[in-house]
Amino acid sequence: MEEQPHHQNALEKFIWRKSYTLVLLINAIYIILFYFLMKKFV
Amino acid sequence: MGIGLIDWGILVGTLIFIVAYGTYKSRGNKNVTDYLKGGNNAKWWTIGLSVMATQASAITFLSTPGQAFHDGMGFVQFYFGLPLAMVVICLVFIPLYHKLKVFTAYEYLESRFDLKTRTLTAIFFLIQRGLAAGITIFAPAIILSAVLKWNLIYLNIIIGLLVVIYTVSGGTKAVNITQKQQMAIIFGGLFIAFLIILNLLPLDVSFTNALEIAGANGKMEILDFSFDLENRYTVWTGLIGGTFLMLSYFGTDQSQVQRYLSGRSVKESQMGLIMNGLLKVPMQFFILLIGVMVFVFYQFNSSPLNFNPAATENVLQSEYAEEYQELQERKSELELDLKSVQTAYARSIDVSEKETLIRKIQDLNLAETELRTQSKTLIEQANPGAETNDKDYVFIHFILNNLPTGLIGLLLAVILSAAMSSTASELNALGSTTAIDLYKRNNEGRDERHYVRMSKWFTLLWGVIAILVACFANLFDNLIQLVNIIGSIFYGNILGVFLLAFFVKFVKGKAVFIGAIITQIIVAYVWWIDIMPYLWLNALGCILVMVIAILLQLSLGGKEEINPT
Repeated sequence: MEEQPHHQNALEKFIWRKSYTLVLLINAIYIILFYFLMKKFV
Repeated sequence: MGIGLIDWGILVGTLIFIVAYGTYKSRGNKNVTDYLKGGNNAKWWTIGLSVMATQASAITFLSTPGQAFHDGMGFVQFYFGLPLAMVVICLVFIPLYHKLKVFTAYEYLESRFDLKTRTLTAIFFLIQRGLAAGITIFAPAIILSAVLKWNLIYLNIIIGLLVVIYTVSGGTKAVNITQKQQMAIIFGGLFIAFLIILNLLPLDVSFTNALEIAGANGKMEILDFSFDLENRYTVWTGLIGGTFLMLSYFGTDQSQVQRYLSGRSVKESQMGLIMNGLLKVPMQFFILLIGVMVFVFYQFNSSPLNFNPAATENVLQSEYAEEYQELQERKSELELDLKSVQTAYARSIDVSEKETLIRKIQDLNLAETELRTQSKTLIEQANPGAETNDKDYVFIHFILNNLPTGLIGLLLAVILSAAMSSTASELNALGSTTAIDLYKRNNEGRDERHYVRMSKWFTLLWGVIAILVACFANLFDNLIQLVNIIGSIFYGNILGVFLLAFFVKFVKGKAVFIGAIITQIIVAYVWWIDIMPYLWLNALGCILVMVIAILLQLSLGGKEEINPT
């Protein structure tokens, strides 16, 4: 098997991207929208 | 019930086009990277669509609207953990898989632990996913055969063969290409169906009126913030349980991992999963909304007591036929009352009158639900062990009885496309895991063509196994549940092994391997003595393997060397 870089080296570099914040934020907005939709129609 | 020539034309034409296009566009795979990773050329939207198409099986489109019809929109909460899982996978899993240039998720475990841990998890995956692939074919086939009177065995074989043709010949590239077409058909078909349903509502019932009617009958209770463990769908189970489930599915199941391993770069793979994280919740919401609109439609139109035609036929041929017919008559009377009250409600502009009418509607619907419950009791008495839950049959009943010619063919193409897209990813992953983790690892030094040829043979073999499982599935009661149980027995253990690999650095291969074996025995035993619902076996397996491996490693101390890689 060809030599592979050790996994620890790869793990050390967590790079946070703006898109992660965006996806979490937008999904939070979905939940808020669902809440108001439910409030209006239940 | 049959379908017309135009519908047949659209259905057959769509399916043949997908198979032919996928086979043609993916010809000429020269090496293993081409065949198993699609040449590492996939762009982010291809990955995103492919990931979504893999998760959305035919049952998603048959069952989910039926779920909303009976229980409302609450099921959407099940997906709240998905975006969190996508972010964790983008942050941790994808960079690591790409950096190590792995073909399968299990290959990574050899570099982190050892060969035996890799082989063990690969075998666990093959057992559970091999059975699940058969059920992905069988589940829609049994419903379509019951409703359309098509031969179940032929339908299983046709769905399986169509998938086998392009998956074996074109590998991952063919799967990715066809899933784009399939998702276009799925989204297009569902959107048109939604518009048609709205159009079929009475003229004086606006979309807002429809939502009010649904809300008055408890169908718009989207969020449940309670901590009730009895309730399967709450915000908390979605956010906590859902995150773990999605993490194990998208992060360690090769049928999903293979989708984003085909990305041309780490960023493209990450963007593909972010796309899934953005679209999944609204997509499920939309499918559930279709189900709710079908519910509103049946407030103004007649519906059967039970949507499963086989169950109804059974009871009508039994000694309970008279009682059942009586229930049907009572339901017809209720429907007439309901229709007139609903129409009055839609026309009313007076707030207090509306409130009075809403209460009447609620009472009538409660009475209808009671009739449906009584009908289920009769169905069970007529045929003990019969499936009384008809949620899988609600949407297909609506499609076949109310949609115009042409659109029926399109919607059937949606359902079969969904079945094919999920099955293709499963066969692709099963073939890859067998070829890379079991065959190539133990037969090194052959040329690329040999491994491509073997990958094709393994994919074909799994295709045949999946078709056989689908064909024999009908012989067993509750086979779908059995497959889910088998999945739950293995899934938690596999996730635990991966979590140890990523986050618990001091644990080494020997401890994990022994821990995984002990965990598997304990989980199987716990299932056998039946002391907890089987879905909890996932959590049990995950926690057990982590605790046992950590304790073993602590007791082994420094005796075990770091795995040389």
